[in-house]
Amino acid sequence: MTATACFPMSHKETGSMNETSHAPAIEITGMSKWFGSFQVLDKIDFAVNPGERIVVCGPSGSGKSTMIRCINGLETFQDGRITVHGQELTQKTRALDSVRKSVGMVFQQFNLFPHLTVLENCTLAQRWVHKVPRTVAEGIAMEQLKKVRIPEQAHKYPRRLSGGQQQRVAIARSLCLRPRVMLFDEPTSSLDPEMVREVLETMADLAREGMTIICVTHEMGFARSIADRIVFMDQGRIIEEAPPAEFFDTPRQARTQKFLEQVVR
Amino acid sequence: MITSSLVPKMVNFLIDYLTSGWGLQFLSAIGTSLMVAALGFISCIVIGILCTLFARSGFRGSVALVNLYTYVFRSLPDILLLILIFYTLDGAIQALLNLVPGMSDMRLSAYVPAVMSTSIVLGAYATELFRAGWADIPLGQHEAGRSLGFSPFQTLVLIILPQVYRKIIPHLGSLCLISMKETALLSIIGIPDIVRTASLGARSTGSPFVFYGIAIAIFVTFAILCSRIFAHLERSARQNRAGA
Amino acid sequence: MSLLLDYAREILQGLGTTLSLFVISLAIGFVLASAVAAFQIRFPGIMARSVWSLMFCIRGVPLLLILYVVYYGFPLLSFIRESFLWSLFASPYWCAIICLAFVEMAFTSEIIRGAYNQTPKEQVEAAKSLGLSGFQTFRVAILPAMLRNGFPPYTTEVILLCKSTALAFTITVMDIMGYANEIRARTLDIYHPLLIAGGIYICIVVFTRLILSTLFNLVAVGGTEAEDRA
Ligand SMILES: Nc1ncnc2c1ncn2[C@@H]1O[C@H](COP(=O)(O)OP(=O)(O)OP(=O)(O)O)[C@@H](O)[C@H]1O
Ligand SMILES: [Mg+2]
Repeated sequence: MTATACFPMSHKETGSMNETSHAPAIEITGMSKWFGSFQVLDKIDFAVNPGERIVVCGPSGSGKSTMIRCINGLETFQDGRITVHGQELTQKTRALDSVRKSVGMVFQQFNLFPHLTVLENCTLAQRWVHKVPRTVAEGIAMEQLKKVRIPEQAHKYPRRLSGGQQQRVAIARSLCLRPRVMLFDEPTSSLDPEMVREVLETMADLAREGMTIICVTHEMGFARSIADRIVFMDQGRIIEEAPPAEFFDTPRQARTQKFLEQVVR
Repeated sequence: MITSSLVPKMVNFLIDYLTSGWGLQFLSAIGTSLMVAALGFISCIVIGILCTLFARSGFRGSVALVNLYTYVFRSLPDILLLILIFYTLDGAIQALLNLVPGMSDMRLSAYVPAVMSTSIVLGAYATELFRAGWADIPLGQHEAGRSLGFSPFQTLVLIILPQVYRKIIPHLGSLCLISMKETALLSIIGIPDIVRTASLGARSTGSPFVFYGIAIAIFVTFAILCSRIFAHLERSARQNRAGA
Repeated sequence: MSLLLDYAREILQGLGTTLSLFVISLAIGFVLASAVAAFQIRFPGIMARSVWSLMFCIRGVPLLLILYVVYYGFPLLSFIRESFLWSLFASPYWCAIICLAFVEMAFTSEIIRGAYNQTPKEQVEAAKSLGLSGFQTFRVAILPAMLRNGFPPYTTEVILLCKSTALAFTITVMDIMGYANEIRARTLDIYHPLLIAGGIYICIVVFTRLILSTLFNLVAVGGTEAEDRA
């Protein structure tokens, strides 16, 4: 599938617009992580500028999920440091809270709260964490639901929605908190093929608006058209980091070439 | 060595204790309780399987009947049922026997109502258990069995029951434990089970905590053994599946 | 017929006792169980394991035996006889409540713990990633899942407790079973009093189930199987 055609892009322009701000949105230096004696991440060094779109790919078990889960504190790490908008991420509750307020996350399994309606899912954190009054929160939620093109589902329970719709609600739920960075962990891998596109389009909309995005995905067409940079990981290390054209056409590392042969075919 | 001299002393003490009056009483009480528990456990499983088969047989009203059975006997206090059976069964059987000349004086052992009420009550739980386990088994399994040329009975024993068994092993463990605990009720109808022996001893010797302590220890030991055994059964069932 | 009505009237004198035994021990048992389960969840390791083992042992001992120990054994302990506890343990009614609540604690704490352990990890992560605090996460991600997973076994447990209250008559509490048994002993009429008592117990269970399922539908709106099928 030539996904480039699906996502007519103007990202080169929006990208350059944001390059004016100097401090990186996210900066990871020398981060290592072990699960017991097994080293999952090995001295990750990596920075993301505001407005940049990063796609992370790599074979299964290479530590992609673990890395982006570290960025909003769902996993702890043993060595190195992560700063988000200049603030260092520690396990202190206050630091975690303020980082999480500016970083949204979307999971592979949607993880909507099943006992709350779509609208309630979207207003919950606004009202509880940011103390936004209910009516205001609902207004913001409806606005975001419109943006992901499902305002008519607002009063349904998540189980009544298709997978693609649920994932778009999950995106809207994060957007309601006005995050400055969005993390996606394989947002389309548990979707039926026909629903992948609607979610990718939603993400492309976000990219067009200049949101800083880090996305783990195996959708290479999407990566090619959206990403500013593609990061390739293997065995807990960043092996290669390049703009899409360079990454796909002239990969430098042998492992990257092998991976691309398997994925793109 | 301290231990080497201590161990024989302990053993001697234990043997002395066990062969003196109360020890023997406790041993026979354990036997009684275990026997009733085992009979109750086995028959409740038989009841569970039969009721499940009946409920799935498709006879008109069979489901409603089985539902009624499980609902009533999961709601009725066990002790009420036991007393009811204990006081009426004897009379009913006497009345029946009186019809046959020359067999007028046969007393029924108190164990019969005990086992009966345990099986009826636990049978209701077992039925629910088997029905839930059965419901999870895809219909295709049954059809596959039949299509391989097995008789319905062979399909049941060789294909369906082993699968149900794997699903419900942990629950069977708690059922087994409950059937042991149910035997405590026997003391109310005068059968010398563990609880009765303990309370007799407590009353007659004036050191109740020793006797109640022994009874509690017996039950706790049984609970531990039971959980070990069923954990082992569960593990080996899982390994068998992995091997298959 | 009028005889049956007389029986029923006499047996129903025990209704209040049975219901209060049931409800009070259920409430105390639930509070204790929550505390025990919370302790096990909060302090994992050796502490949690020893508490778990204690609860396991309690679950293995028949209620009748515990009733006997408390009712016949405790009064022999001088520190109980000489303290305010005596007023508690001298009353068979309170002994029964204490024992029922104690056993209920052991069973319910395991149900709560099991329900907690079944909570999907992803739900908790979603809540955290939205920046919810610990308590908010508990409220929105853990508690609903615990209710969903814990309600069916808890219903079974509540019914079992209801049945167990009938054992209180063995330590001279005059509940429904106590009156029925007394009539049986006095009149040598076995069927009628016991069947009437059985009918009353079944009614109590029917109502209990009704109340529980109503409660469940109230607290667990949406996302449940029932709602999905509708
Ligand atoms: N909680 C955990 N405990 C122990 N090991 C873990 C844990 N979580 C992940 N791992 C291991 O860490 C490694 C990296 O896992 P991770 O989920 O980050 O991989 P991934 O690149 O996201 O793979 P996938 O494409 O399959 O999602 C894997 O080998 C995995 O087995
Ligand atoms: Mg992953």
